[in-house]
Amino acid sequence: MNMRSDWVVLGAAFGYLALLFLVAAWGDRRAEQGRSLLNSPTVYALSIAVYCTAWTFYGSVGRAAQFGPSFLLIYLGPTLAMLLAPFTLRKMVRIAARQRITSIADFISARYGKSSLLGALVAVMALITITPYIALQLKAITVSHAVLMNYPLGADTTLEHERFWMDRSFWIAIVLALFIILFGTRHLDASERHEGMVAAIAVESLVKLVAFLAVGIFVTFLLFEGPGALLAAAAEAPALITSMHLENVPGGATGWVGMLMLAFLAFFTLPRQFQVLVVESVDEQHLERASWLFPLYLLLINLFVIPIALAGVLLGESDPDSFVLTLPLSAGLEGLPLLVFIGGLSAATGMVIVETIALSTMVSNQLVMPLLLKLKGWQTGRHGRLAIWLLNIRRIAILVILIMGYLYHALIGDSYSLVTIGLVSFAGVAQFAPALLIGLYWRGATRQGATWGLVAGFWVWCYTLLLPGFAQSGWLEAEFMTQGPWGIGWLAPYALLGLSGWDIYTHSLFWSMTANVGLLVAVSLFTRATPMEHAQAALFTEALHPHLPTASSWQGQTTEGDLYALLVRYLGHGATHKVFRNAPPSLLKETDAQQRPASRELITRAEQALAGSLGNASASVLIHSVLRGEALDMASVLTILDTTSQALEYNRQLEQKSQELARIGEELRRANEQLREVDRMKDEFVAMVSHELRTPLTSIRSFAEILRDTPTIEAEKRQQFLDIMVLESERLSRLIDEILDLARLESGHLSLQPITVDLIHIAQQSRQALARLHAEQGIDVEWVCDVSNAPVMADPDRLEQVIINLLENARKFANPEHPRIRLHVYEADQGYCLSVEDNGPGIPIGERDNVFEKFYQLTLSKNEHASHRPKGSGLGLPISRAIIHHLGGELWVDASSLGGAAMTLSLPRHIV
Amino acid sequence: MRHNAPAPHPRQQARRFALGLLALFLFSPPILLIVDRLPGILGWLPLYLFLAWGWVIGLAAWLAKRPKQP
Repeated sequence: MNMRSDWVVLGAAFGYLALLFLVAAWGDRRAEQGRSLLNSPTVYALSIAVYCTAWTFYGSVGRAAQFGPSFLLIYLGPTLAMLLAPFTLRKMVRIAARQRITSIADFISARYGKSSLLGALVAVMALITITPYIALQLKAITVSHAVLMNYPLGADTTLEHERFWMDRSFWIAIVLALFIILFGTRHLDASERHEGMVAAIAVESLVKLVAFLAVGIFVTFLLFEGPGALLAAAAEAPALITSMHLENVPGGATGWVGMLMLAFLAFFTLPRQFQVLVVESVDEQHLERASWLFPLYLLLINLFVIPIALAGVLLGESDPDSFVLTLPLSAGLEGLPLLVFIGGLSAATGMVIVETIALSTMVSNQLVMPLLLKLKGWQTGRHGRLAIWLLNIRRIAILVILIMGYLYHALIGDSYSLVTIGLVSFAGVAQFAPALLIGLYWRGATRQGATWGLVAGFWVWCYTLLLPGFAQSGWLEAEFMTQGPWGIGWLAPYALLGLSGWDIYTHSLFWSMTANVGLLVAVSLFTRATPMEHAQAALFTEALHPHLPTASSWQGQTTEGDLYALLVRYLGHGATHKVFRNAPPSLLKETDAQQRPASRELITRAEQALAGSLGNASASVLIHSVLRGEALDMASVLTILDTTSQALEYNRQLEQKSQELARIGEELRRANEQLREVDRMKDEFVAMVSHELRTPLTSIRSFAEILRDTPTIEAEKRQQFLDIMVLESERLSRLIDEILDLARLESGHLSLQPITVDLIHIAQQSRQALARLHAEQGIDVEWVCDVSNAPVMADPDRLEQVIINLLENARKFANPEHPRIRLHVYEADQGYCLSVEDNGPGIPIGERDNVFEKFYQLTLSKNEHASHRPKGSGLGLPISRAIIHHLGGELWVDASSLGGAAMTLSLPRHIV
Repeated sequence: MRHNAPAPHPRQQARRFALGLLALFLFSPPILLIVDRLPGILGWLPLYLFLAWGWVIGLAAWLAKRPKQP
């Protein structure tokens, strides 16, 4: 059987569409039975893959063949967007659930005070930008069908001679319209999930992935012998050497960033993406898995794009957009091309289905409804009939949109390549991004700012991308593009203000975003928001706040009867009864129930139900029409938000206070530790003093007892004992003097009388005082003086006491056999210095500070060398250091060049 | 009925944000220019892009699968 006969191909195509009907019907049926199998993140991720249209399926390979790796940008942008889903999409999904959002136009309208005008504006812009994109899908179906049927003849030759009823894509459009009407308008509430449709889209995503992977595997592993062989063959072809480099990307690095940005923004704002990502979302937890599963899908579907593009160029196929079909066809296969055709068909139909539902909802809710509400007589229709009316409006919109798409394709579609239409649409819908994304985070964005931004951005887009497209189609003079309108060069649409050298999409994105964001921010800063805008801005920007009220509440008054009548008129009985779930409708026939004032909660619920069906703007208008008195209770919303921000502020202050407390606690703890340490030292000191005092006292007492108890003692012995007692008494009183000195020094009560003295003079005086002692012990005292005079401020008596003390220490520690001492006066940075050096054993580095501790020598007595050392009170050095400190100087220990220790004191020089 | 998910932990949020920035960095010109200039007949850019892409997806999946405690 010939697989490429018309009947087989048509049978397969329409058979596939019939399968979609079955899947959708099955999905809806399961949902009605409450056994929805689609409540899974995987189905959610697959439905997002409606992003991959015929443009991906056929156009990616075409773009890769022409512009190297730049095709990947269309998928890296959404990857970035999905990675940031917890910050953007999560918020949007939450808002959409609370406010019963039905489309991106509804979302933007609701954010800016439920503005009808803004909603209509977005809807019109979406229609203008997306219709060509739908045409692109229909064109892809026509072209792929022609390629399949006519290969190896060219595809385009046959299209021109066909009547529209011979064009398969016309009939496919009609079938799709039927499908969408059946599965897309089952409920009036457009914010409810279209279960069957989502099921069909998920299946379509699988089909196109399998088809693309199949052709990829065929080309890479069967047509060539694996990727290695393919790359080796490509390396031989001079045309392909630079094809995969950055230089082949339009606009180079700038173009790369621009396109990445464009895809990132368009992913949020394409009406079909908003539909599947936000409106059809049932559980925001699904975003978690979709945030990596969807990028993985994108990676897989792009995996074989480069191999197919390389193979197509190598094998000399003509149209890169059709490589996926022509490569298996050229190998003589028939089944695989048919599968590829079905894959392309599924990519195209999936896009058309979701996009048309999104657009038709916008048309009915944002364009037609607000107009109808303005017609006076229209609202007085019979109960429930308006609901059917609304559904019919949506159905007609679906037909009109598809016919418009088809006409666009049939009349002007041929002058554009696949990719061009797609990217022009991307740049168009990206204009919604500032109003959408900035409005999500900045409470100050106002309706007027958003409107001006949108209009300006859209206008710049028209001028820099849409008009040049028309010029390329021959509708405008070509000079318009090169010379600019009326020959004004800086108005040239591809080089606005002389900005040339960029690729046209980055160029357009840059200027349109500059105008859009600039006006949005600037106008917002200078306009005042209405109370409704304030409330909605707060509800949107704080959407993730845990204590946020679900919707703005109403404080106007109405009766349940009026509300019931309103709902029944627009939504029919079924939906109205759901809203009045607490009060059986039969009650409402009674007069008192009719007159019962409606609770706030009921009014809010009624508004939500209306919003889900008619859009937020119209719902708000309708609720206003039955409310009396001050309608919107915006104070309550803002109070809740302000209370929470106050609570946050209190929290912050509390945290600061507790940190301060912790710091103070730490300081107290440290102070306490210091006090304990001081206390311990005091105890130690008292113990040492007692010990020191007891030693001479014990000695005096024992000798006195001997003298008392032994009257017969020899005179010579008695004299010796009395001498010892006198010596010990002297030592005792000296010790007490020193202790008193130290106490006075430490408490700051010691009075010093500093006058200008010459350090050299005092040093010599001290030396002379000990000269006899030194001579007796045969100590060699060396006197070195580097300066002629050394004026310092000091108390001469105390300074002499210090120097004598140092000399005495040196004498005690000097080498007993050849004792040497050097007294050295010199000038240094810090003032005049005096050092006393000896040739004794010296002091180890680790103990140098300890020698200034009180009674340090006592602890040294445990040391093995201590027995050789003459005993002192152990207070001399601490006292000396305290005196020198009082005089503003320093006292420290170093090693001496004589081999022992060098005690050095410094005093600041006195400038006379 | 739609559900509100419990708020994710701030550290988890911070990790996700950092991953987004990492992806942006990996897909931006300075790094791409370096890879693009590596010697090789057809260039390494496509291979690099796919590897970096796969790696980022892997990290995102790993973060999503991790237990939700900080």
